Amino acid sequence: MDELELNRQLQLLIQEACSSGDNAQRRKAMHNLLRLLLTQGILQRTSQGAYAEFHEEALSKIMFKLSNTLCDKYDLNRASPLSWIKTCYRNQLKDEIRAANRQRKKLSLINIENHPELHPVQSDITITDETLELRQWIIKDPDGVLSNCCIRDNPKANCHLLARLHIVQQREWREIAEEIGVSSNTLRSHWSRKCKFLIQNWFREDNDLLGKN
Amino acid sequence: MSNQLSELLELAIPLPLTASFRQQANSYAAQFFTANTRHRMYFNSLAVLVADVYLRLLGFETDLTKPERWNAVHRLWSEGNEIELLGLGNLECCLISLEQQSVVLPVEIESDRPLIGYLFVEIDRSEKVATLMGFLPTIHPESVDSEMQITTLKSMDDLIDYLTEQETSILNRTDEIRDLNFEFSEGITINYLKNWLNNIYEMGWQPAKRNLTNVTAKKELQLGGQTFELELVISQRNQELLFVEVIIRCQNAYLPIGMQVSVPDESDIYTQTVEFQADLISIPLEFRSGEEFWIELRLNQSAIREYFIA
Repeated sequence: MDELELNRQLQLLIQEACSSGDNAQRRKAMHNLLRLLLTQGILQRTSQGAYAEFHEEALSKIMFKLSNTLCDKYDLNRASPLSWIKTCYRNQLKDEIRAANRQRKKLSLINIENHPELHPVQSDITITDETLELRQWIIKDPDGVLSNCCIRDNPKANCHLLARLHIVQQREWREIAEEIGVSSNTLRSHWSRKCKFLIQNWFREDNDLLGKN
Repeated sequence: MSNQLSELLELAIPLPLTASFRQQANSYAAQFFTANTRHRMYFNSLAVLVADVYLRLLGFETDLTKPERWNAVHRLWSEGNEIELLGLGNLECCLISLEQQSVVLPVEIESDRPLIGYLFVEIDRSEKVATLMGFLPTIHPESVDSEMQITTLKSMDDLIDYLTEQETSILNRTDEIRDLNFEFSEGITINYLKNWLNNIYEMGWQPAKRNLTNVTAKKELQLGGQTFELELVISQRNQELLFVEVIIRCQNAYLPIGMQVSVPDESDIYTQTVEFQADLISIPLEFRSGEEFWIELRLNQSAIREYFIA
């Protein structure tokens, strides 16, 4: 699609997105406008170097700017849609790069080695103590709360086994149902109505006891 | 490539996946115990995050920022990959690849909110682009747990129509609630919960249990040729507040799939739909003394309502 045609289509879509009285029509126009920008290579990654990593962030922010301000800020008499959108994107990209440089400078003043929490890429949140405590309680079920709660006439289908398979081993309901010999719908129903309640209850009480809440 | 599929692709939208999304998806996935689940949750979360951006860009209100949404313990490791559209319900995000011929709708969803549809997302190998391919509404409860041909997916245009229609119908239903006072003044039968506390039961209600803190009453209701049992457990918290648990059972072992139970919820209506085999529905409610409310049971085209004053 050449530039002239792109501008023509964008103009039509802007008009529709900003003036249609029908919510669905307005949304469809915005969808088509964004789709055009994202599929026609208009806002492409400008470099392959160190700044390329900011492309997605800038693109994401510029989409929100367009969706929020297009109808108020864009003036057809001052610029074609294409050049206005490209300028917005370039400015956003510069902002992203500046912000990242500021952050890097700030971090280089402090020895990052000794302050890992300040590193711009946070270390992953891994399994916490409270998660492990809960998992231990499920595995042990010291008071038999979970094992005593089973589907009627089927002691094997009890909350203890379900919790171990579903939470600790993270198996899918389909598999669990096959193993226990009960339909997956019945299992999930028992899980949602009974087991989840027991586990959440223990977790709440444990937190209250330890003053975490 | 079939016509339906090329039509779908024509309206599919590729969106950028930012570094912050990858980081958030990673943090969430890391809270799961097994490598397989972590891998699955990472990609599912990317799909959820990018779909959320798209919906907000089109002016839908979502609620992905609640911290508990990203706390696996709080969710008891449920694998629902849902986005809550405020006032409308949940949209479940499902991963898809173009090579796939069919999709299996997830059954692992555990949520209190109604599921309104499935959104299909393809994630590029680079993990920098995700394409929203199409959707399926949940109008057919029997489609849950079933395999659908990829060519049956609806386009993104259809999704916009569907969600906008849902929004409009919610607005109309909110008007229905405004009419509640009118309905109450039109000579309908009202059950006064305070009477139950004083041992007075009328209009088919029967006392079931009574102890120091709770009063339980039951009533049989006929709907769509089946008999249902509506049970209310009432406990008075203090002079001002009444706690009511609504329980619905069916005389057959299970409630019929697709059956809905609705109650007013502040300025909205809360509806619970039977999506899989279950023997009861339970909805906890809290009312101020003198507050009006109703409970509606709906099955296919028939509905029945009971009116109450707390």
